[in-house]
Amino acid sequence: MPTPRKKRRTKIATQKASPAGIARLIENEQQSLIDAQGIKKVGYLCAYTPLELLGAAGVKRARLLKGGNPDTVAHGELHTQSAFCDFTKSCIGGFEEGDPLYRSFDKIYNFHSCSSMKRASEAIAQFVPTKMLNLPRLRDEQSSRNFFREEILNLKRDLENLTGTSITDEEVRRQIVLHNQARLLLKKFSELRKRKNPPLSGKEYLELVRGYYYLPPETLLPSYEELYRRYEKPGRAAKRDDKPRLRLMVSGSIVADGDRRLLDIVEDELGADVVIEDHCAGFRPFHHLVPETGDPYQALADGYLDQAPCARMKPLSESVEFSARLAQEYNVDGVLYVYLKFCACHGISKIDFTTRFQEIGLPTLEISSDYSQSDHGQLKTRLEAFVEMLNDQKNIDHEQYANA
Amino acid sequence: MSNTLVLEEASSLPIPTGERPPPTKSPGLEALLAMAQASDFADIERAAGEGATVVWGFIMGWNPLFRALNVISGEMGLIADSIKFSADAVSVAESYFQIPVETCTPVKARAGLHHMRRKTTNIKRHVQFAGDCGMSDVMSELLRKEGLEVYAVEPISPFKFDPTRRDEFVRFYVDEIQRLSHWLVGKPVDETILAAELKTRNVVARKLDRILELRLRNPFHVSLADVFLLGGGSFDYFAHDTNYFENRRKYIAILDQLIEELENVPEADDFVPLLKVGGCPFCGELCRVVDEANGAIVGNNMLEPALYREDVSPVESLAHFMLDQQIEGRGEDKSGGSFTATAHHISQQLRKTNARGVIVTGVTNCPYTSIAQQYWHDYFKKQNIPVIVMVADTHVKPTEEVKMRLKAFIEMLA
Repeated sequence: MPTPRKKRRTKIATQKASPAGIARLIENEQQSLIDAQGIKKVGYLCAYTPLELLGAAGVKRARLLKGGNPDTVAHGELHTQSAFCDFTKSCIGGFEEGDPLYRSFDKIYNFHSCSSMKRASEAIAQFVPTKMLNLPRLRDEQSSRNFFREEILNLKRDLENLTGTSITDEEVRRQIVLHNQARLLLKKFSELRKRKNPPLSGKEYLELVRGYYYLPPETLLPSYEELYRRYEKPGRAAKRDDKPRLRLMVSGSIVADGDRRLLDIVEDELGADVVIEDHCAGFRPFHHLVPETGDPYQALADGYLDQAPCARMKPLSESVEFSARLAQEYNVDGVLYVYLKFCACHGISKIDFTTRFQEIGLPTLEISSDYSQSDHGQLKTRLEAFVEMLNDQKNIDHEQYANA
Repeated sequence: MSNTLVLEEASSLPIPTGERPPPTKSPGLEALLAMAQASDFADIERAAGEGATVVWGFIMGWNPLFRALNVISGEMGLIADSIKFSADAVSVAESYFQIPVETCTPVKARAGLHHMRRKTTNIKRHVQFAGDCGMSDVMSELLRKEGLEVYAVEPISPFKFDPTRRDEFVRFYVDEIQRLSHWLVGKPVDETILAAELKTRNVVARKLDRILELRLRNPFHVSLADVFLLGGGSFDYFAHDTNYFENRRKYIAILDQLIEELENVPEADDFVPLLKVGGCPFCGELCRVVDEANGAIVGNNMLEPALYREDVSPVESLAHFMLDQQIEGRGEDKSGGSFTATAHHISQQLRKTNARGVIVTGVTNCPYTSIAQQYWHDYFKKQNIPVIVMVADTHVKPTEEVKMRLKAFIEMLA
């Protein structure tokens, strides 16, 4: 669809690039997706979905990423009852309550990530045609990689049937390059947060990531590039405090689009910075790039399986080690390990993560979360105590350093 | 072997230790009970100590592979013990493993028990079908730190199956079977032995099918709890993972005896035929409630003995079996199958058995069955088939309220 893409570029050029600007672009794109006629619209559920193929198919696409609203959760519970994670309930609830974006999709694609999402797909299929695809867990097995390539080809065939047009290898390769550019920029944005005084907050970074999941790279890249040029300048800081702010990592379950209450408290009320995330709506999927040479479908299979592992991948120790390395690389003072209630991947495995963080000397606060609003006070109190404890520790460290 | 424990779970779950099911009037069932009670889970531990290959875990439908490799699965014993010692085991899981309190009891109890047994058990390996429910699957990863060697079988699922891809799926599972064989015993499975195992299993499956068919005339001679026992020590009671109570010839002879009994019992007077759908073992007490209320469960999404193909190589046969149980929703989450497929499958059973209602069962705090329960409930309701949802903790006795609901449902259908 070359013509519409050119138009979008022209429009973007008139907007000032900023995280808020990205949010406006997303809003426009979502409205355009809802209003669009004569073009297929596709929703997808997991960060392991190869967006390059959706781009090559010329469909409009958006990730089912919304969450944080208890009303939507209540709609989801009509299908799930209460014993389910609130994000999954929100995905189903969005369809149940008639979210115009969700209801406008012609098809949903879901790579089988966790058991909850697999089940959710079957519920969503009552509203929109839904296709499940396999996502291997054993990343080191060649047979798993080969099968994943076949599943990617299966997705390609399905998209071709949906749109009635062929997907060419050349276009897939072009999309890999484009998506790599976006991934690379997101990695570079994140690396700016390694600075003592980061130029962007955790919330701003999540806005940039949100853009990746909702916007085609042709729309996104000009904004990313302009923004990066601005942010990379030395001396730029998101917050200009005299004393250094605490540096925190958020690790664990997905942080949905709309679920910002923890970040609001940490960054806006308690004056700490989230400088890195190990979750699938934050930095984690952007640690690796997809190979740009060779068979493009094998490249997608390898690229996505080689990305930093979700906790559903085996062995779990690889996910734990990645998280620990990330915390050290970003020199964090502490970790917020946040998991959604009933999330098997991050709830049951939390002991391995928190133990590892403690082994490398990182204080860790474990938070069991959902989208209810009733525990705001309790959450704030716990976060306050954690931040206070870390600040005390940090001041002691500074004093010891100064007296040495 | 672990059959006493199987019996406790299947027919009297969760009765206190020492209690036994009420005596049966069927000589065949008496003989079967005696077989089950003659063996003990301690035998498996002893065998492991003496050098037998014993693992925790199981893979639904692939028990003939384990038998052909001379590998024993101790999982049934673990599950049954996790019921016996659930209070302590759950407490250990929540404190030592810090498994969230909202997690279902079966997962917590098994995890806790592994820790409690870590110093005394001779079984040091665990095999995990990674298509099992997410909670079980992630829990298996925690066992590595308990000193267990954990092996995962890669699951692929056909979802909405494209028949043109069958060969591709079968090839994948054939590779997985060979990989698993190497891990278990260091060599590929002997196909002649495996073929014989599958053939025997098919003989048994046909007999079980005949029993189910005859049972439709008089479901009280072999009650639901007894039906579970008939599975011969299998994980899913009636499906495919039987160990024949470790005496195959005697077990088959008892099945023949039961067929003869059932062919000669008079037809039962008016009763309410019901189907049960759901992955939770139906507690023995609830089975009795159904019987007392003159209801009879004549079908279940797990109570259908499927056959292994004998027209392909035995390894391919196992692969087809896995694929077919996923496509048809048999075994549901245990096989990585789909709950929409299960609903379709149970609809076919409804037509076959003329059941008047459906009992949907589920495990408390199991997210995966919770969504399936709601779907099944709505699915059958739309077809004007009476349906009741019964959610219970597998490790806690059902309350009077639960029993009363079930009785009221059956009375309504009478």
